[in-house]
Amino acid sequence: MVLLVTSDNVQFQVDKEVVERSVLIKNMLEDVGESDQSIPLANVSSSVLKKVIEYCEHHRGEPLPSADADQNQDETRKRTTDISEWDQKFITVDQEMLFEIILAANYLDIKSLLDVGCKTVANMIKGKTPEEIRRLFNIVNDFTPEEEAQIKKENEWAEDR
Amino acid sequence: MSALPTEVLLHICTTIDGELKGSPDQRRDSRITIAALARTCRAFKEPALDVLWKNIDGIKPLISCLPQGVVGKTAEGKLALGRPLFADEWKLFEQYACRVHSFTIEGSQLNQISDEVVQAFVSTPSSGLLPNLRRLKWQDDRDRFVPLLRILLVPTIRSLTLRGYQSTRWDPSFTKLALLASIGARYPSVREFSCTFGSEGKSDVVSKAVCDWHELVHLQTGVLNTQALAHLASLPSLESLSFMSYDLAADTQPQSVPIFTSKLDAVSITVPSHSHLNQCLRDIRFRSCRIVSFKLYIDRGRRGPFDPSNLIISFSECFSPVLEQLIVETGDETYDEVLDSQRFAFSFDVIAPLLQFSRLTVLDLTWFCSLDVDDEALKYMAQAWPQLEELYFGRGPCYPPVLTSTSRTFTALVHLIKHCRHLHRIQMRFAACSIDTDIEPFSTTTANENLTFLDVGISPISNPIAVACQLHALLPNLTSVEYHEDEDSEPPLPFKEEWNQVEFCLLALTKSAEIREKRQAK
Repeated sequence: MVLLVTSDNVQFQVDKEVVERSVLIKNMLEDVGESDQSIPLANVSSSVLKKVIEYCEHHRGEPLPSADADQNQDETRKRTTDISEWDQKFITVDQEMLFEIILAANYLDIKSLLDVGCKTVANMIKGKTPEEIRRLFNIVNDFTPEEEAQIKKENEWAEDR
Repeated sequence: MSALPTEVLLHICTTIDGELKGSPDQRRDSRITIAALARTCRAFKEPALDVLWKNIDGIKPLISCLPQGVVGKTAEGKLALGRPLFADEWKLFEQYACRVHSFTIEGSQLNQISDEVVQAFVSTPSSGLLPNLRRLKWQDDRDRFVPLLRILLVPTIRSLTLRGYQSTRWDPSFTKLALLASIGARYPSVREFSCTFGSEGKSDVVSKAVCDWHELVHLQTGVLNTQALAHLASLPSLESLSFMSYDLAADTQPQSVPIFTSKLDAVSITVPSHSHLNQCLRDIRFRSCRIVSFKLYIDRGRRGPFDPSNLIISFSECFSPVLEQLIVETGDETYDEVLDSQRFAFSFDVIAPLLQFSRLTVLDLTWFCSLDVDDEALKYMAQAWPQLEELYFGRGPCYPPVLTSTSRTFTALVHLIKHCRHLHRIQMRFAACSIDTDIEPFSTTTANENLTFLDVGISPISNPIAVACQLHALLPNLTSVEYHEDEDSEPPLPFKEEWNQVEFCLLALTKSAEIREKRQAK
């Protein structure tokens, strides 16, 4: 078992096999060797870690993307927006939690969870205009009208058939 | 969301970019969304544009980032420039150009630009038009665009495809040869190179370039000399190789036989004559190849004598038992009929050297005459190749469609079904008649549910209904039989009617079995 401590100082005892789905933690454990020391996760709160552990528990034993996978394999993995039924249910959370999970997956280096989060956001964005995207995610438009028009003009070819 | 780190925003944009193999409409929808994302806020602009511009097809995107007043159209409707670009305008262009990693351009797209556009692009103040380009697919063979091609080649290039607009070949002119002559030394990190050409006299230029590449993974090209082949044989990185073989004898020394022993997995060789094929098989060894494809594009004047026995022995010596797929194709229908004649008929003795390839999954000898290989011989072959998935074994001449007698019967097919449990495609002629189902091999053969393709060429048949019932018993999911098609044949091909009856019965039997299964399930 491995002891993880979150940013709000909550402790989690997790199976080594489960927690090693995080490349960051796996590398830390390899560096430290056998030890009872806790691992502090300063960037992850307890509510988010709970979700992350739930994900890792469910996917326990599944093959991990290999560390030496070439760039093409990595791109191919990202370039599909299909999400399995369980993952879909798991990631049906409010926007704040969705982005917290994505940040945690990125920090902990859990590629498959990061994929699920990014695919969810990608599916939310697909087919939307800049204004609709801003409204959806409460984003402030920090372009001047001229800047936005120039970007539009320089990338108009994207609409060509 | 805009607070997410850049690498995550890039990940999201890459996901939206979708599968590259999606339909053109899907790809367009993805591009529109990413372009919209780039205009949402500053945080999204860079990652979205990086993804949008990563793979560019055609010249129009490059033109669109030039200043509006500069770009116009000629009387013929071609894109033109009113004046050369100024330094600050090049800076704007470079902001986009540096994002392009993959660029594809073909003749029809080049037709849309005027000479001034080409001249402007080749005058870029940078060392290359797209300075971070990794993959270039150039599909045009006109010399006047070669300067543009030259300015697209940069040291970051890893994958380079050169082909004609209408043809897969890029037959070199002097201008193109001049480019190819320096390509190996100037861009040493190329890992994939595809450039096929037909003229053997120009092979030394490409062979020289090949010798300068030490990280090649995939190579598809025209004629290579022995020096280039020896170099390729020494490369640990090479995985696939496709080339044309002409006159290896001219420069092959006995001690310089190239032996490929490393990663090379798939090889495809095009030869112009039987003697070149035999020579190529004699002079090169492919010890690591799993997949081998030979294309016999044999000129009428260069056919020369053909000895199938020698050819098969050469196969067995050239490749090792790791071989899984052996495919021999011809690119000439009139030649098919020459090969597939009784004069060149294989006997079992001829085919026997191939039995050592116990891992064979695909054997395609479609265009050879195999009529002398009888039931007993087929049994030995089936036992020797238990992994076989596809067998194409003498289809029959295309024109004129002549019915030739065969010593093989339905029993040969049963041997295949019995011993090759992974078979799902068979193309073979045999004399089809009902056989005794109570004796070997039929009585001990389990049905194969995977086999759904059976091409019988012009096989003679008697008692089609009984044949259909026996076929259904062994191949329960077979619903059709391919028979040699020739609509214009007058009179109609023999046995066509009988094979139509077989097909009709198979369909009825399969439907009936489905209904029975459904009722049992209830």
